[in-house]
Amino acid sequence: MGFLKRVRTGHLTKRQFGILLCLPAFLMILAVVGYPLGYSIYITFHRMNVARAGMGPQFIGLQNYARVFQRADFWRAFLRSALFVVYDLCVGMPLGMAIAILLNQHFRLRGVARATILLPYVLSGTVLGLIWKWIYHPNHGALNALLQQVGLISEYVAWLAEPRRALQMVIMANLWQGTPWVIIMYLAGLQTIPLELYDSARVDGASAWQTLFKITLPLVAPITLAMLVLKTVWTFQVFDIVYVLTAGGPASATQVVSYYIYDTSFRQLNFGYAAAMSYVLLGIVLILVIIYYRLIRREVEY
Amino acid sequence: MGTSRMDLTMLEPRLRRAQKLLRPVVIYVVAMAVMALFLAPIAWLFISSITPLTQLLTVPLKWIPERPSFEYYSQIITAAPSARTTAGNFKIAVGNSLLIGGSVTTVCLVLGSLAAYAFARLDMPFGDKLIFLLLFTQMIPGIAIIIPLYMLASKLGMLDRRITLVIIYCSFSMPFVIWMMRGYFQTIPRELEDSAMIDGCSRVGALFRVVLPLSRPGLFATGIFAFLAAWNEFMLALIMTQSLASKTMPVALAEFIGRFRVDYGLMCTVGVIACIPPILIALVFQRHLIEGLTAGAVKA
Repeated sequence: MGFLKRVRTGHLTKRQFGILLCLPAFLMILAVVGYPLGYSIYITFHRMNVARAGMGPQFIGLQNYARVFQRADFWRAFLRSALFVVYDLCVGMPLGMAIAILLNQHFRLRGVARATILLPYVLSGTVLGLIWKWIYHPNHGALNALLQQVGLISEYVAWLAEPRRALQMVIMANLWQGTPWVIIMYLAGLQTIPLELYDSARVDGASAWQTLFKITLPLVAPITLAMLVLKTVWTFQVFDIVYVLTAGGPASATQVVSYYIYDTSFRQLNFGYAAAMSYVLLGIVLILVIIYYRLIRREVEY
Repeated sequence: MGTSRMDLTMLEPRLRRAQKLLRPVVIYVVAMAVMALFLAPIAWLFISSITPLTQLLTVPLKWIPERPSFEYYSQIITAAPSARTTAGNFKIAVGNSLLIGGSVTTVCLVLGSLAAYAFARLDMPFGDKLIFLLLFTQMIPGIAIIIPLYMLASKLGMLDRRITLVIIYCSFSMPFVIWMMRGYFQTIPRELEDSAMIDGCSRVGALFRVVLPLSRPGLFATGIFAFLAAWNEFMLALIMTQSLASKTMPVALAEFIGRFRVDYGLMCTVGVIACIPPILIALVFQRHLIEGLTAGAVKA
């Protein structure tokens, strides 16, 4: 009996029924993620300039990839994104851990504090861009007003006008948005640690630092690994906040890799080169993810 | 020497007591400072939206508005939804976003639950491996598939349509929904389903009458994520939408910010309105949200 006939008559095995239930979801994912991912490879081997009408895709072999590795623009954009990642991992994660330990103590309004932490996490990147653009405003921004009223600066600063500073300011805004997630995850992790462990550590006369390094950190290591991976993947995708805050400027100082690829594809309409860049990016991110897994697995086993 | 050491040992219990008393105070103060750090920028957006422009532009800046006004809010509420005014534009975009977000949540929960049920109960071929493959798709940067998606949509005449965004967002959130719901279904005792089926329920009947009602917290947690992801997504919406027929809130907001002129108050008001759905969700469904966020990492 054919599969379709069985569907009609309702004589399905358990497994066939399962496949039937999955079908709609799977077809959708295949069409929206699977097909484009495959077609993207085809694009990377072709010259596809949509701006020149009437010209179909032209096969050019590995030229697009060669350009990715030869041209400095892509790597500069990549390094900028990498800097975002470094800040997220080296500043955001330890900071998030510290705040999580703090919020895990008993104090009044603890529930309110935890709810507050959620807010930056749920807001969209465009709104965050707006919030920080307004705070960093050169003439009417709250940051200038605050720093001047406290006496830290004597004149208003154009925070986003100077390339190097602009990059730092965008990174700060990104940290503000990204750290709450770390806090929430670590809070959940801390709650799974049995309190008896801390009690016995205290009885043995362990210092606070020893407790942190010998009990807390090893026990949240699996969460740390998950976050390292996801943070790296996500931070290389940062786009919204840059688009709204600086549009990659000044002088492409804040042009992160997603923004550069977007610009190449939809402003310069150079689809082939852009697709090759996104594949190289995907490859690098995957390699990083594998390295993390290897490193942490060794740590955890020990 | 001797006396000073004596003094110290006498002081020690007092120091300890002082430390014990001081500890909660220090924790409290630092916690409030952290809270302020995360709340202040959002609060400032709100304060700016109710401060009259002249006061907003004074130097030195006054932080609390003397005569708060909700003029911008009424301007947006009363505006006719038309493309001509900023407020009208934004209104249509918010409508689009709500519609898209609602559809994505519904479709994701229905189709995702069906697939999740198959993985939890129906002996799927390559069960766990397939789930991991699905989760892997979540690691693919959106930028890597955006060009072919755009070309595909343009070939099919699907550009600038809300349904296109619904389909795309559904596929992006589906792996997470399937994985989460599978976890929930696995916690429900099989016996409940079996007895329902003995009582004459079909398998699908048992799913809808027994399993799904029992997994309500899971449906909430995953539904919230599907909605938030759709409500906040920007890059794909930016490329797939061209007019108010499908433009979503983040795209309209970004356009408005791009014209950043002196109507700061109106802009902040628009920003505050864009915050309302996510903040409501965060406050009302706090527990579900945290549960959904941490489900994977903590159990793993």
